[in-house]
Amino acid sequence: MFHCRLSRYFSRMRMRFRIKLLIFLLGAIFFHGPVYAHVEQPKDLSGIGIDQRLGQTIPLDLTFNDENGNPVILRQLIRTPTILALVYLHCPNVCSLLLQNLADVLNKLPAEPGKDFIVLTVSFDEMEKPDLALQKKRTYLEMIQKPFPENAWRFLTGDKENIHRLTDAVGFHFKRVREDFDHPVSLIILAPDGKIVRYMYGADPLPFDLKIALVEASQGRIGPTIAKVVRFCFSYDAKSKKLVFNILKVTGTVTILFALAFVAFLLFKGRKQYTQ
Amino acid sequence: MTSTGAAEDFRPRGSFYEDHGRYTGILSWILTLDHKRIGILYLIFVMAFFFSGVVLGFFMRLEMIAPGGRIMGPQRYNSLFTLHGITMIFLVVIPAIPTIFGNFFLPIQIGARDVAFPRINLLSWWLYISGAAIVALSVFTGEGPPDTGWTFYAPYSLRTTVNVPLAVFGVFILGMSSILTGVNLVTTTHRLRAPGMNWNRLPLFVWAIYATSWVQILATPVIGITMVLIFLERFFGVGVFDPTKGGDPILYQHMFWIYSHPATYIMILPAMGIVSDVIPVFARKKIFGYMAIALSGMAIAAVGSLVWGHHMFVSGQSDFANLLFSLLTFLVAVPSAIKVFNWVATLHKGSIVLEPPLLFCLAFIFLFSIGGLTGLIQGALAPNMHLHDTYWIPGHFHYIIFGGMGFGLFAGFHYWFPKMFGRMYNRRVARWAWVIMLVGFNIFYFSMLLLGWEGMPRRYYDYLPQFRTLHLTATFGSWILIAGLIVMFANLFRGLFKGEKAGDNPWDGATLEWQIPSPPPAENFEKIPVVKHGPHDFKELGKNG
Repeated sequence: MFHCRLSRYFSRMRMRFRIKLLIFLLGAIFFHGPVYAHVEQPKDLSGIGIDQRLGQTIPLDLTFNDENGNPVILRQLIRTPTILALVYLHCPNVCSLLLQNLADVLNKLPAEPGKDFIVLTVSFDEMEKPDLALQKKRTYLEMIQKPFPENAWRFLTGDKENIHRLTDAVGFHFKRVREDFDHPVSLIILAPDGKIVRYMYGADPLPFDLKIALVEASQGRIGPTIAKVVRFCFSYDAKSKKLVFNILKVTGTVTILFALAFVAFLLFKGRKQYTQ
Repeated sequence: MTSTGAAEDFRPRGSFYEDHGRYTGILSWILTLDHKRIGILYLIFVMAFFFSGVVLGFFMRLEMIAPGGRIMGPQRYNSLFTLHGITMIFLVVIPAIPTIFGNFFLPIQIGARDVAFPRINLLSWWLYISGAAIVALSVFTGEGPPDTGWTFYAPYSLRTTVNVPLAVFGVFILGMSSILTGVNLVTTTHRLRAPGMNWNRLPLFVWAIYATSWVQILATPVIGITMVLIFLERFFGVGVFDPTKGGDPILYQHMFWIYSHPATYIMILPAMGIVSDVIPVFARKKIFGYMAIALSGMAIAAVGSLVWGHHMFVSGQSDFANLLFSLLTFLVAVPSAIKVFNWVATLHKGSIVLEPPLLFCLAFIFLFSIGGLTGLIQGALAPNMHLHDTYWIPGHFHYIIFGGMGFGLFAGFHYWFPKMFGRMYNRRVARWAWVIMLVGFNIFYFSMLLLGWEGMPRRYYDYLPQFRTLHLTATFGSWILIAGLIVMFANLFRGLFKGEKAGDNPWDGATLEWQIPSPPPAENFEKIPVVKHGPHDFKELGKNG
């Protein structure tokens, strides 16, 4: 090795400098770390969520009321692949978004409603009555721009016992908060025999996903959950993130300053003189 | 040229292979401070990871050969595409050209004896190996390999029970390696140029690596910080990205793409540098628009750092942000187009010699143009709604990354092979490999573009029967492509041991690396050269010899 001493000295010195800077940068990040731990107030999520019960069969003997107030047994309705949407009908945000998006997807779905599949919207609020269900049904059927058989999208209401037997069977856990509910947002796809074949999380189902889920349901095959994170209904407060943003600003500024110092060094130091 | 088969000839007297420095045996490699040896070390490992990435990709395509998910379940498929992505992006495509050719040739091309910080250079390699080892460890330990996709999107990456933290830590270490390489090559370019090597005489490969290194220095810290935040969130429960803790998942996407979009320019810029160096040599002509090419590289680096939001058009950022990012995305196409036009103009009326390196560069121009134009389609807001998360996107970026960076890398292999190893591969076989790969590549990835256009979502292990034909075609194309890769690498590997002696300047190049022996001696130059002409002055070369 013929590295000249000067170069060795330089590289050693600069390595030390870089290492110090690196330690400083890492230190800055870790030192600030715990600061925002105090700001965050995690929402209480206990008892809300979905325990997937893929492959299990829901009890088909449950009785609900249809939109006209007539009692129906689930067995009478579930004869083809079924899209089950658990919502509460006076929900101010995500439930109606889910149903709107569902109506939009049904509009595009290349399958025959009533024959290839049906949709069941079941309210998990035992206080809600068939007249509200009928009103909602009219609204959503109108959103589907093509003719859609009345019997292919049912809006069911029921008593507490039947509701809880259904939601427990599909692993759907929600909590009443005064008038409203904290609850997960998901469609659940059932095979014609009531077997749970797929969960589709989120308020924004894709036609492709729905189609493939229905194909699987008609064959009784169980599909995996693709979007794996359960969506919930709650809010995000940008103000509480101030400290996080400040940390980002600090680290960003340090990086830029480091880069500027580096540029200055390169420009002022110029080319190295060679000793042949 | 004479042909000999003796193994000693692989290490001719006086070359850097023979000058083992302070240590002997394996230590003379893994503790070396010679930039060329470090370049070879990177070459070996990057190639090893490339092959594992190819195997992972091969199995993904095999799974998609028919609907029904017959070969593997969804969890395994998720792991496969995650590992394919992490391996190819972080271990192969980002480091490949700057570390292999940047290390090996940048100092020689500017007339230096080594990089500015040889020890940091070695440290970078060790960090790279450690990062890679940690990522590899994450595959075999814990509750299974990561399944988040190479993007580690929050909040899923915060909640999945598989081995994400280890993989994230590996990526963090790899980022440090990348920053140090960037600092080293920038400093080398500024400080160690030989007398007379002015900025307007730098080979364009040096310009490209210089621009790339700045992106590495400025953008990589962001991914480091992001990975640290994932760590904090997973182990200490701090809510930065997780909405259930008051965090913001969109913030994660911003931070991730602030690094990862510039990273795509870390991938493509050096390949553009190789193309800019190769084309004039085989067109026997000065490059058209030297400064335009050099500065458009810097422009790509600068504007390319401001376009990250185009990955998030449907993620819920504001309409104004969408408009702005779409506009900037269109702007960054301008310098790329400048380069393409200049290359074509260089070929115009040149005395073209169709040797393998030039063929790979022509493939680069063709495939990169398809990749760039499809990029504009998805960079416009309305089509993006339709194309987002479909097969169109992987189709597009494979045209850029594999068709662009990959073929640029292969051009570099065929161009510099005789210089690095002193021997020549079989050029006929190399041309055949080029044809096979080009055919396979287009069958494979064009099918993906069509699949995406028809609505096939990406990252699914199964699909509807209507996509059967195109998926089958794509899988078939992948086999042809892999066959071409095997032919190409087998030919290069054979050339390593059995190839003819190449001589010092087989392509009649005018840059400095061709004016020294092949393979180069340790410390490259007996006497630091005084540079009197630009990188494409072939006339001057004729006078000298």
